[in-house]
Parts: sequence; C-alpha cells; structure tokens
Amino acid sequence: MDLDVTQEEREFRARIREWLHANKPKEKRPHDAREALAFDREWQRRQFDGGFAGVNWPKAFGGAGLSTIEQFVWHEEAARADCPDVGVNFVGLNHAGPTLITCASDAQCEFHLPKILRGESVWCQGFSEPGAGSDLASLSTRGVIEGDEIVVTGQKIWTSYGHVAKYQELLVRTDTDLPKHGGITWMIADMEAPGVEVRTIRNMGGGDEFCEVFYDEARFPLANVVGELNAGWTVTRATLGFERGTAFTATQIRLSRRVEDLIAAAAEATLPNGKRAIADDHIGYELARMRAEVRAMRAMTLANMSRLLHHPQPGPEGSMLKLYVSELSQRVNRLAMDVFGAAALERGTGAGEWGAGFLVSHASTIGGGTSEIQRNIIGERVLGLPR
Amino acid sequence: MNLLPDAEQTQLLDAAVDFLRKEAPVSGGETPEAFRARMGRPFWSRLAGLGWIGLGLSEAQGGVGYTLAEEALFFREFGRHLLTPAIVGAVLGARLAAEAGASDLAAAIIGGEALVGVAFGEADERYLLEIEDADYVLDVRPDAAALFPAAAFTAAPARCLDDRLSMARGKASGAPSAKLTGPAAAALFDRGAVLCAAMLAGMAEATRDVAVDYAKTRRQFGVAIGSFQAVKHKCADMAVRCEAATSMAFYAALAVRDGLPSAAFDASAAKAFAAEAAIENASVSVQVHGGMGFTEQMTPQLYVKRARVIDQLFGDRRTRLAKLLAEPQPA
Repeated sequence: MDLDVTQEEREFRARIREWLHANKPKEKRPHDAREALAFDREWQRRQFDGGFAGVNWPKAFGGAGLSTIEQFVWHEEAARADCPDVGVNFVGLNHAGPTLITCASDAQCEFHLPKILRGESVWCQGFSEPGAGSDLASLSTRGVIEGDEIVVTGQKIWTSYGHVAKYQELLVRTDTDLPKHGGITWMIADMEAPGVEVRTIRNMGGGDEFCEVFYDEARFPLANVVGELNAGWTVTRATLGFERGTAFTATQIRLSRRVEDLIAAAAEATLPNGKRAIADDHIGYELARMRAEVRAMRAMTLANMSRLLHHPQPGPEGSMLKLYVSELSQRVNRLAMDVFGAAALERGTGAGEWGAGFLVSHASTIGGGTSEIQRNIIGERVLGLPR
Repeated sequence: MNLLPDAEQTQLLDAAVDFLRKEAPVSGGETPEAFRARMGRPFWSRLAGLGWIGLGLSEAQGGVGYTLAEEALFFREFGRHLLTPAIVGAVLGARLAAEAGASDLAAAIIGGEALVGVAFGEADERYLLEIEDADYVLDVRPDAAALFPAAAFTAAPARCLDDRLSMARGKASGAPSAKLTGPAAAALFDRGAVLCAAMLAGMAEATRDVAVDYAKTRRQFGVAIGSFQAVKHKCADMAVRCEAATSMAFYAALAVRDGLPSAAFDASAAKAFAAEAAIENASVSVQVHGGMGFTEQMTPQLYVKRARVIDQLFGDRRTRLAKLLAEPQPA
C-alpha cells in the first residue's frame, strides 16, 4: 500500500499542466449537437497531436502506451483546467475503443483505433432496444448471414449522438435457436450504410443528442464482427465492464469539482430567510457529507485502479463505483436546487445552469444500466446472492 | 500508487485474521459478564504478546516498526471482530507516551501490563470507556492529548448502551502521566480518527457479510430471501458502502502516514464516512434478519450499538463534517 508518485508520473503531470495551459479550448462547448461535433473532434485532434490521446492505449494503435494511473492523471488535470468533456467521443474513447483493444482482431484495431484517437470517427452505441432495456440479452434486432455479409433488420434506442456518429457498436441476434445470451453478435456498423435511418429524441433536459436507429436490411461486411459469431455476450460484458469500471473516471473527477463549485456557490447564495445557504444546518451538513463522499469516491477509484493493475479487465465490482457515482451525482444536483432556490428556475443564468443540470442528472441512474440493474449485478455477481 | 495490501502486509494480516477467528469469534446471546470474562486480561496479554499494540511504533520507540497503513489493516479486522475500543486507547496511548518521552509507560502499554481506557464526549465531565479494568485513561482532544492514571478520575459508574463495554462519567483531577499539545495533539486526534475509520469499515463489512449469508440461507415463499430484489438491493447498497468506506479509510491512513497536505481532510472524511457506513449497515443488517435480527442471539445488534460508540470517539460525524467543510479543498 502506498500513495507514492513516481518521478515519471510527476513529470507527466507537469507536462499535461503546461500543455493544457497553452492548448485547452478557450471557448465553451456549443450546445447544438452538430456544432458540438466539430468542436469535440477538433479538441480530440489537438489532444492527439499533443500526444495525450489514449494515454493508456497501446502505442501500436496510436495511444501513448502508459498505464491507467497516467490516464487518471490526465483526467484529473483536464478537470482541474476546466477542459470540455469528451462529448461525442465518449463511446469511441471509453467503450468501443477499450473493447476493440481487448476483443478485436489486429486488423480491426489498426483500422479503427487511430481514427478514434484522432477524432476522425465518432462512435455510438447500439445496445438497448424498445423491447430490450434492462433485459438487454432479450434483444431481437436480427443479423442474418448472407455470404460474406450480415443483413441487419430491427431497431435500437437511447443511442446518444447516433445522428452524428460514423460507427456503431451494434448487438444483433444472429441465431434465434440458441438460448438468449447465446445467439448475440457484437459487430461494427457503418452508420452511413443504406438501410440505416436515425431519428432524434428530445430528452427532458431539452437536448436532442439522444436517438433511435432503424435498420431495414442494412448490409455490413461479415468481417465487422468483433470476437466470434454468436459470442457477442462475452464481448458485451467486456464493454459493460469498461463502461462501469473505467469510463466514468472523468465524470467522477468532474463531480468532485461540481461539489466544490456548489460549496462556493452556497457561501454566496441567500435563502428566503436571509441566511447564507451554507449556514443552513441541513445544507451545510449535506455539503460536508458530499465532500466526504466525493473523497471516498476518489479513494474507491484508486482502489479500483490498483485492482486493474493486476487484472486489466474490469469485473462486476465496477458496478459498485457506477452505482455510487450515479446516485451521488443525482443527490448533488438535487441539493443544488435547494441551495439556489428560486434562482435555479431562471434559464440562461448561472443558477439556471444548475437547474438544467438537475434535469439532466435524471439520466445518471438510468444510462449505462439502471441503478436497479447495478444492484442486481452487485447482489448476484459480487455477493453471490441467488437470481 | 497502490491501495491494496502488498504481499508482506497480506501475510502479516492473514496470521492476525487466523488468530481472531479462533480466539475472538463474534457471537450473540452471550451475557456481557461472560463476554468480559473471555476478553479480560489474559486475552489482552496474548494480544500484546503478538505485538499488536506496538505494531505501528518504531523499534526505537519499543514497537514493531510498521506504519499506520498496517495498523489500519489490523483495525479493520479488530472492527469486524468487535474488539474493545480499549485497543484504540492502548495503541494511541503507547504512542502518546513514547512521543512524550515516557518510555517506561509506553513499554508497559505495549507489553499489555498497563490497560488504557478511553475518554470521550464534548463536555468537561467526560465519559470513560472500558475504565473498569484500566490503569490509565487516554483523553485526546483536537488541541490537547493526555494519558491520566485511572485513579485521577473520580468516576461515577454509568451504563453504556453497548453493554459489552464498561462506562463511567468523570473529571480528571491531578496531573497526567504524559501529555502532548498543539500540532502533536491534533495529529493524535486525526490518527485516532483513522484507526476508528478502519474499525468502522470492518464493522460495516461484518454486518454486510452476515446479512448476505442469512439472505442466502433463509427461505420464505419457497425461495432464499436473497433472491428478492427488496432484500438483494439492500445487500448491494451495503456492499457499496463497504467498498467506499474501506477505500477511504486506507487512503486516509496513507495520507496521514505520509504527511500529505490533505491528511487532516482525509482523516475527517474517512471517519465521517466510515461511521455512516457502519451505522447504516448495522441497522440494515438487522432488517435483513427480520424478527431474528431483533433478538439478542444474532450478531447485527452488537454492531448497531458498537457503531454508535465508535462514532463518538475522536470526533463524531457532526464534528468531523464541520471540520471537513472548514478545510480547504485538497489540491
């Protein structure tokens, strides 16, 4: 057990700090998804040129070839410098990329990974369906093998940035006779292929980056299958492991920052009774608790990383971190509504930003597997309780 | 950076866990008198003989030469096994004596000849824990820490909510046998918080484990109750609290040991968080056990009581959270 920082890590941090100071985007990330696309890609490209894209990805595929610790340092420094979020590149960088590194062929990795790191190809997820949400393995979008092609027919939903993405990590049922987990294949879909249609869905926060995707006999090369045909559930577990184990590292660090911002805001905000929000017993107590909670979250992340150094593929334990972060994030946003009171209701102001954030925070306990599903996973796969 | 025990620490710990499993099993349904008889001076001597009291003191101080990290690993197990908080009194008392230059006193505590009770509570008249058999009383406040001879207290007997612990009320009169002030006292106060945090994390884990075991075996409606989401999800939440509390306690142990700028912040975060986890898990564990959980025969009730006691030592949640809010944000 140690918190030692190696000389390399120290130098790496200093290098990031210096680089971010000179290179981080000066303007704010645009709200409009299509404008945000250009912004995110440009920012990703700049990180790549600076040598900071895919810090823990293999060098052979364009990464920096460093450890998860250095990747964590990057996220910490990026949050500290108030850099924009990865935005449209989330799935490529945090889901698809790590899955390809673990499960894909060299040819697939060589083709896709550098493009993700350079911000050239945006990815989206094609897992959930209208009839297969929490019960993901019951998905019914069909993939029929015809010669050297897969012909896909069906529908996916909750596909963030589906309307701007070039590629999709797509789950299809390639064998209907096998048990439900058995007939699934994980494949790469080109979103521009004929027969693929994307429609946006407005979410409760007013954003429209959320999409549904329709496939009408869309044809993809059989070579786009990742892992074995019908063995997609194993690949999916890897993807979800990354999603729950490591993908939210940046989110967690941002959440710590958000708690600090809220504490600072509560020292300024006035309650209807004339008191400063932070002087209110309930609010003060909750803010202090959240400070302890985000600190514990960081420690949990470090413990998780310590485990990953020995076992590189995240296991079901990742669900504990995911559940913790989602619930905490939502509570922080709820408390913000009490801190700002009436002011949170006025859109377009600083306090109103918190109001908008509160709306969006409802997604945190649903996306990436609901909190209820995380609790099932923890109960069954971590604690060994019966199904 | 590594937040998990290394090979040497694991080996050290395995031996301790072995001993505790054999010699200090936690069982409900034992009278407080029988329990106290079993855990009295002879047990204490064996524990001291294993080098546990001086574990984190340097060899020059008469200790074994490990650090707060190893102490935290041990205290997590002490918490699981509900070892008396007198162990906190002894470990910190020995440190106080050693740092104050009272090396004979330190040696007596390390050797298990001198037993140390713990003073707590906010008032001038302090509550005294495990003083019944004690030779000394450790009284640590954020600005002053002292080791008094037990006789210095004119103690009025009191009964503790946790009836496996002896308690009294009293005020010290006369000079302490050893004392620390200023930053040295504050450091001891935070060190105590870290040890208690580790203890509380271990308690949270123990109540999670018995609840999960019970949920796997207790059958209703023809199935194990752990198959019901209403029960399963409670267990999952317990597991998450454990993971966070333990990680935070270990992180704080390392931060305090290494004297990081965030040490005080981390000690407070660890103590407040672990107390919350232990308190919550203990009560949830009772609930998972249903009617049985309410009986004296089962173990969760022991943790319900003990968690409330340890919360009060070295700064309760309110005190720690107030401190936390006053600290600058760690860099």
